[in-house]
Amino acid sequence: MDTFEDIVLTTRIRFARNIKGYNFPHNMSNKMSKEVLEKIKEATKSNYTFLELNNMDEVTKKSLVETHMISKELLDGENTGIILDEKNNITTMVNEEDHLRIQAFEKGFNIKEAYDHITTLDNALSKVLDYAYDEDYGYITACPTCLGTGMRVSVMLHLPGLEKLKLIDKIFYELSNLGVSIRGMYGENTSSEGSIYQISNQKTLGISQKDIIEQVSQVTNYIVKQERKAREILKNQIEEKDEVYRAYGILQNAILMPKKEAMQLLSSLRMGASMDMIDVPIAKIDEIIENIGKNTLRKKLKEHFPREQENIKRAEYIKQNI
Amino acid sequence: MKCSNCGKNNATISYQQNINGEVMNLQLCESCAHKLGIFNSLDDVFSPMILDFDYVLPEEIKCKKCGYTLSKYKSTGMFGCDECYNTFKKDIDSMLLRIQGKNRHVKEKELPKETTKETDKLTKLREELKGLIEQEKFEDAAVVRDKIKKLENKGKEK
Repeated sequence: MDTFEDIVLTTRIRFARNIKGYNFPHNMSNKMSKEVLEKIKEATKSNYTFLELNNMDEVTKKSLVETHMISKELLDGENTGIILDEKNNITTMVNEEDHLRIQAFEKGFNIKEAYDHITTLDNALSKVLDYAYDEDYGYITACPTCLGTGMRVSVMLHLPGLEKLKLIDKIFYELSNLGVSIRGMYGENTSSEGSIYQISNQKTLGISQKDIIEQVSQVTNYIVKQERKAREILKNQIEEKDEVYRAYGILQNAILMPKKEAMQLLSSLRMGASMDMIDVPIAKIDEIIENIGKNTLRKKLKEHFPREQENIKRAEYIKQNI
Repeated sequence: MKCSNCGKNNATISYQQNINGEVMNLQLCESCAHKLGIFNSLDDVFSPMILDFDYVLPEEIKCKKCGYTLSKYKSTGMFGCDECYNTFKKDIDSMLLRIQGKNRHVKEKELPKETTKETDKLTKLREELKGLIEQEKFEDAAVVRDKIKKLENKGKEK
């Protein structure tokens, strides 16, 4: 199966679930949310690792946010936790917007694997926990935009080609008519650092899980084709080649490397690697992209360096790994 | 223009007095107008703003379980608990048409994943049984045989 490694970074699926009889986390007393936390902890203890956010250090927590494993909002909540599996394919948030936000991650385009992993945990939990479920509305969630299947399928795409040809807005527009949303993945709000975008299904109700998967797969296929076409056009332009090799040179030699610049350069490098211009494995570049957040870097280097040294440490890390 | 009484503050109130045709114009500041008993302050003049109002607002419907209301939903974008979906069903039904395009859940048509897993388990157990019989470990084989029977019956119940 083609996992579209040249364009897709990761695939993720999220299930929103709640336990019957308890208010939603935002409307819950401290005592109640503690009870929910304990219940879920008990339910997952045999096969998964359960961590309470209260017991975790700041660097680890912030690193999980940087790598998109958990949301910023989870850090602000009371009695929050995460459930992890051995291989890091699953990160479930406890007491975020819903009691459970089960998430499965896969490298490249691989909805099937992610779906297998998420349903395994979901099925196991549904046997021990009494989920809030309604015949008419399906899985009950705090926000009605997640109701029904509670499922969100997201694919993280690297689209420098379409961005360069100024076709991103066209994609944004067309996708909105197809029930699929797209947004920048890194950086603030909708701006995208490193040309990385995330697409996901907008609707969760009145559509089966199978159809949601089909919908996101089709759209991914379509965008991948268009991005490849764009890269084909750019491939022979001397300016593009220059940009790739220039990026390679800076990443190998810079002494100070701010995050934003690193993302831009790594994006150029990733595109170059997909066109066989340079001999750096794409998987390696993706690993670097994931690790260059300030706190993730601290974790990776096992060193709590002060903020002033961030750009030095990042430059060193990239140099050593590229 | 300064207040014609205190001469210090700016005059903000123009007061005309007409007693038996004798007209007197005064330009006063608010505090002097107050002192002279001419003017009490806008609050007093307009109070109460609404004189007669005997229509009592109907109390908003609250979720029996968590006390949440629809106005609360409008400010947070979230409901309070699972019971809210029953309490506000009518409103939710039309709201869902707007935000999701549909308002009823669609169940999966395919077999639940667990069934295929159990089939896998059965295949494994049967192989194990075969192996044990070949090794003449009949006591162990009996245990596995019972496990298989249990699983098969479970399948039939479904």
